[in-house]
Formats: sequence, structure tokens, C-alpha cells
Amino acid sequence: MAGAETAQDWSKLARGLERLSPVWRLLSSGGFALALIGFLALAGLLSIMLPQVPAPIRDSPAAVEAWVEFQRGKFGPLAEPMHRLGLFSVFSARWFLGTLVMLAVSVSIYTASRLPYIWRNVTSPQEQVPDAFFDRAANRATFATAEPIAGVDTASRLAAVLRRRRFSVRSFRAEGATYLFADRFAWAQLGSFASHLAIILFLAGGLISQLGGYTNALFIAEGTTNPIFAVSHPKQMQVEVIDAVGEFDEAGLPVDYRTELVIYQGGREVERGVVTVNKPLSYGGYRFHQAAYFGEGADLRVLDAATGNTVYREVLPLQELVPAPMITIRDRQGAVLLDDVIVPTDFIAEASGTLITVPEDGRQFWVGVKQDEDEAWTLAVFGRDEPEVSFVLAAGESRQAGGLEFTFVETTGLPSITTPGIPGDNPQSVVIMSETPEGTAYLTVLGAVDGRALTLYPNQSVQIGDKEYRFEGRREFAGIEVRRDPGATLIWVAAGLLLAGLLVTFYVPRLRLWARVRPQETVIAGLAERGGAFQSEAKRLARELGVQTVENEQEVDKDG
Amino acid sequence: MAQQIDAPAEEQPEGPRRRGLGGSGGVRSVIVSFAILAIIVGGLWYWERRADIAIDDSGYGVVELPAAKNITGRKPVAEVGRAAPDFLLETPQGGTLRLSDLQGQPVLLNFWATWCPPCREEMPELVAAYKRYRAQGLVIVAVNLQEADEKVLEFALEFGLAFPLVIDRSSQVGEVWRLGGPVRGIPTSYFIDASGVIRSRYFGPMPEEAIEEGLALILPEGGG
Repeated sequence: MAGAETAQDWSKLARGLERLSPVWRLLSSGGFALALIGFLALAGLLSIMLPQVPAPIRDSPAAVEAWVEFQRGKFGPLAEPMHRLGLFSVFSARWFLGTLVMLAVSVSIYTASRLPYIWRNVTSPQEQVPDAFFDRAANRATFATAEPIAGVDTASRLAAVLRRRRFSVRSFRAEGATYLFADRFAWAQLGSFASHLAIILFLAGGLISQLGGYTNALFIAEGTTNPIFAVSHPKQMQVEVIDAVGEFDEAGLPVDYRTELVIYQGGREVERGVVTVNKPLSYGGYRFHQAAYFGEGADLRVLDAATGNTVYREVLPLQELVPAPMITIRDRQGAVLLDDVIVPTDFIAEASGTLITVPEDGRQFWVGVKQDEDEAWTLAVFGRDEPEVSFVLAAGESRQAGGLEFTFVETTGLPSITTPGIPGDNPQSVVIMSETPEGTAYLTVLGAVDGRALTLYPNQSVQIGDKEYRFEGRREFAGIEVRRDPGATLIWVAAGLLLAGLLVTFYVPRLRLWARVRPQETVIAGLAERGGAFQSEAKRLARELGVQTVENEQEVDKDG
Repeated sequence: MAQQIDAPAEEQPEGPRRRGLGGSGGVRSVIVSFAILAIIVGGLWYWERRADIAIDDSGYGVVELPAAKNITGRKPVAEVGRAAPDFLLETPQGGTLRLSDLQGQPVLLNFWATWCPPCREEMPELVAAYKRYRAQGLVIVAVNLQEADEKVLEFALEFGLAFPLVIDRSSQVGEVWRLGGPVRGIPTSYFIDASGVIRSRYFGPMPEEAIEEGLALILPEGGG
């Protein structure tokens, strides 16, 4: 009874599913899958043609809104509807992901609907065929049946030759004839299944990466640590940069970036190594790549002079540039008194400069640079106590004044940052890094203390009031990309499967033959195929049997 | 012989493409096909997930607040007016600290990390506040988020942190204390009175005035 009920249940289910047949047929149609692929390709083209929301701001609605507002200048009133349609974030738009899912389902159904048929064809092939098949098969070869040789008849010899040719052979005897079924590499039919499965895995891998992947870009100074997730996370890790190295050629082009990293998790060091752009460090399913390098960082520390406690400690990325003149001052005899880049401390209108004291001479001049209307840099020089010394030089020019020769070599940019939080008199300070002629980096801090520019040399403290300011040294930054791509394994497997499927489909010499051996005539028949494998196999068989083919045809069976 | 036998299937005009879903055999084969696919994808998913490493912090994290220490009669939640959720965490020096053991004293609970610039900016203010009100029983508990002991100790030495430090290695405490919302981020501070009830909270780096304001709610009369 239970068996009957189960059969009824299956039957009921089958009837229910029958109603879904039109949907099933649509999803299992190759044409529909191709249409979906075409649509996705079009979407990909759109993503190239239209600006896409940058990855780092995608999680911030406010930042995305601001970005869309910016696009309004380019697309006008269309910007908002385009944003709502997901045209600025094609690959994460619901319609794109939906189409991708539909394609995966379509290819899955396409594959699933063919698998049982292919499997049956591989494991339970039709070994016996009607005689009519030998008359109208798409491929057939006919030759005269030879006399038995040493008591071995043609059917047995043909079977032996086929086995030598790596066919598995079954024979059936009937009245007046022997029928053979020969099958070689039947499993190779699964090659196309492997290719279809690979496409499904590609799509699954892409979806998994899209939904479960993680990417974060960290910008970490030497000697400091950054977490890979915001705030706290069950899998939180911290990345410490021990040493960031950037090597450049003589033209200033980067040759190599590498960084020594330590990874901590749960308060313990879990991994350590050197990463480069192409050689990441892996831990816990995450890969840490070198993505960028920045060499201009300054480690600034402020202490409470009374307690010695640090009240401020930051490694500042000096990502801005302040224009600074490179000048040379010579005396009457031509001896060089000053040959240096002048760090600006005063910013007056569009000019930046400072008051300098000429070494060995003692006189003071305000020197500064500004850009003229043609955006060319000019140097302005004013004598502090000598009103007659007042002139402007273009880059490369020299001028005699007050018994000195001033040469404006060029304008250079000094790494700097405008930053809040440095303890002192003002909420904002400007920090500029320069080098002495000997190559020692030093800092100039403007704004922290009213009316003074603090010049800080490495590991030398400058005490102002109850605060002690220290430049702990130059630091480099490493841009580290943290990536987790859970779909990557699937995609690799899919790539391997696709390759294997294609190799099997195109290079494994799969062939299925039926033969009928009668006393006068032997016919070998095969299915329609384009590669000519049947013809060459038939010729080889005839040759090995030592017979002449009397009829050798290949045609497309109009019925089949 | 075989007049009753059909021609090979591949010769038949109607292939599997045209078939519907009817027939229990068809349904079964489709189910089997999808099951094979699910096994492959599931296996690869498991292979990928095997690399996941769980942080072993067994025994430490959120613990149940003893009923005798909950005067609100309601479940502890990190909200103003509710009993402070209890925790037991390790200190970087190797000891342990349980929040509920501090009942009887006003507590300023601060969540921070060495990598967080606003936390660094705030620390000198906490150091100063602790110095001012330590004598009145104030305890500042600085909960570090998942960092290494050495990093925390190095920072404490540099900034002169004299108050208790603990490390939330598994992020369990951070989750319960809602660092993920309503405002995501650190530093976040909670002012807990001597009876273990949260009286105020502050998101972001606290200036001196904000600390004084919060402490006024939890310090004994005349303090703050």
C-alpha cells in the first residue's frame, strides 16, 4: 500500500510540475540562455561607458548621494533616475544580479535536463538496432564478407580488430547474421556536461564572491597597526607594518614596492611576512597585497612636560605640497652663503615665503614665491631693513642687490599637511617636511604655537610652555589591500572543468558503431558526425581485415 | 531479429530538449542532477570556509549579571537607565577583571583601540579625569578592541594610563555594548553609577566638559 501511495505522490507531483513545463522549456532553452548572456554583456558595456560609484564609498549613502550630485553636472536631471535604475552601480544592481541568477538557473536546468539522457546514453547504450538502420544510417560502410581464415570468421576478426582499436564490443547472433555493437570512450559524452557544469560554477563563483567577498584598502604607516574591519568583528585582524620599502629608478619611476607585515588576531601574532604587489600574504582565507606606497610620513609626538606622558602621537601622511623656492645667495667674491630650499612660514595672499637670515652676513630678507598670470613661478625678495632691496625674479634668473647675488633656481614642492589636533594654540596646524643640505629630514610646524614656526629635528625636543614637541622621524606608508574571495576556488575549479570538458569533447576520439555481418556482406553503421571519424575508422577496419570497401557513404539522414 | 527494436536514441527526432517535467523518472533525475550540483558547490564552499579561524577566547567575554547585582529588575542592556551588561575579560598584564565586581564604585567604561586616532586624542583627557577623581572612587575601565597585549601595554606606558585595561579579544563584549550601533564606532564611553546602572553614554572623543558632565551623574554627591 505504501508503495502505491508513493507512486501516487510521484504522479501527483509530476502532474503539478507538468504545468510548469512551459517555464521549464524556456529556462532549458539554449536561445534563452544566449539572450541572457547578451543582456549581461550589454550591461557590462554600460558599466564601461557610464561612471560607476567608486568601491570605497558604496557603503556610505551620504557619500553616494554626494557622488550622484556631482554626476548631475554631467547628466543633468537624468542623473537621479539613472542612479535609481542602478546604472551607476551596474554590477551590484538588483536587475543585474537577478539576470545573473536567472542565467545560472537557466544553464543549470539546461544541464540538468540533459544529464539523465547523456548518462543513460553512456551507461546503457542501445546495443541492438533494427536492420533498417544499416540501410539508412547517416554513416555506413559496406564490404564483402571474407572467407574464414584459419577457422576464424569475419565477425570474430572484426570484433578482435575493434577491441584492438580500444572499442568495447558486444556481439549478438541472429538468423543468418552476427550483429556487433562497438563503443569507444563512451564516457567522453560527459565532456559537454562538464563544460556546462563549468559555466554554472563560474556563475556560482561570481555570485558567491559578490555576496560574500570582502575588500578593504588600508593605508598604514611604519610602526603602526590598522584593523581590517571597522570597530569590532568576530574575525577581526590587525595588520602592522614593520617596514615599507619603495625603490625607484633614476627617473623616479617605481621599481619595487614591498612591505614587511605582521598580522594579529585575537591578540596574538598569527602571520608574518613580506608582501609585494604580486606576492600576497595569506591568512584565514584573507589575502594581503601590496597596493600602494607613500614615502612622506612624519612621526610627530607631543608630551606633557610635567609628567612625560604622551598627549599626542600621530604619523602624519604629508600628502599636500607647499611651494618653496630653491635659492642660492653669493657674496661679492662669489662664495656661496646659502644654497637651500626655503621652507615657507608666511602665507600672504597667494605668496608663500619666510624671513631668512643670510649666514655669515646676518642681514635678513623676506623671500617668497607666487605664480603669475601665466602660472609661472616668480621669486619676490624684500630686504627687512633695506627698502631699496626689492625685486622679483623668474626661475633661473639672478640679481645683484645689497652686495649679494640672489639666484632663483626653481620652485619645488615640500610635503605637508594641514591637520587638526596638535596640542597648542590653534585648532589647525600646518606641518611641512624638508631636508637639510646634508639630507636630514626635519619638520616645520606652523600654527601650533602662536607667532612661532617650530623647527623640529629628529629626536630633539622643543619645549613650549608645558608641552614638549618631538619629531620622531620620517615614516613610510604602505597601501595594503585586504581581500577575501570565497568564490575564487569555485572559479578555479570551473576553469579546470571547462578546459577538461573542452579537451574531452574535441580531442577524445569517441565513436559508437554497429556492425551486421552476413555471409556475403558486412555493413558498419554509425551516427551522424561532422569530424569524419567514422569514415577514417571504417577505412582502417577494412584495411586491417584485408577487404575492399564496396560502398562507403556519409549522408545526413533526413529523418534523423 | 530486432524489428521491434527502436533506432538509436540519437537518431530520434525528439530529444530531451522538448520534454516537459511530467513523469516521476524525469523529476527524480532532475532532483539527482541538482543534488550533484549542490554537493559540488557545497563541498567547495566548505573547502573555502575551512580556512576560517575562530578566535579562542573561551571563558572570557559576556557573563551573566548576578540577580543580586541588578537593581533594575530588567535584563541588562547597554542603554541609559538599564543595568550594565556584565563581562569578564583579561587584562594585558595577565589578570582578569569582571565589571560587576566594581559595583559600589562609579565606573567610566571606555571602548578604544590604539589604531583609532580619536581614541588617542581622548586618552589624555581620561588620564586627567582619572587623576582628578580617583580619590572619589572613580574607576575608568578601558576596553581595548581585540589588540595584542604588548601593543596595549606599550600604549598605556606611553600615554601614562594608570586605570584598568582589559582586552575584548573575541569582540563579544563590543557586540553586546552595541559598538555596531546606533552610532558605529569608537571611542564610545558609558557612565555607570555605583549601583551598576548606566546613567549616560557618549559617542566620539570626549572633551573635558563632556567627561565632567557624565561624571556628575555617577560620582558621589559633591564630586564631579
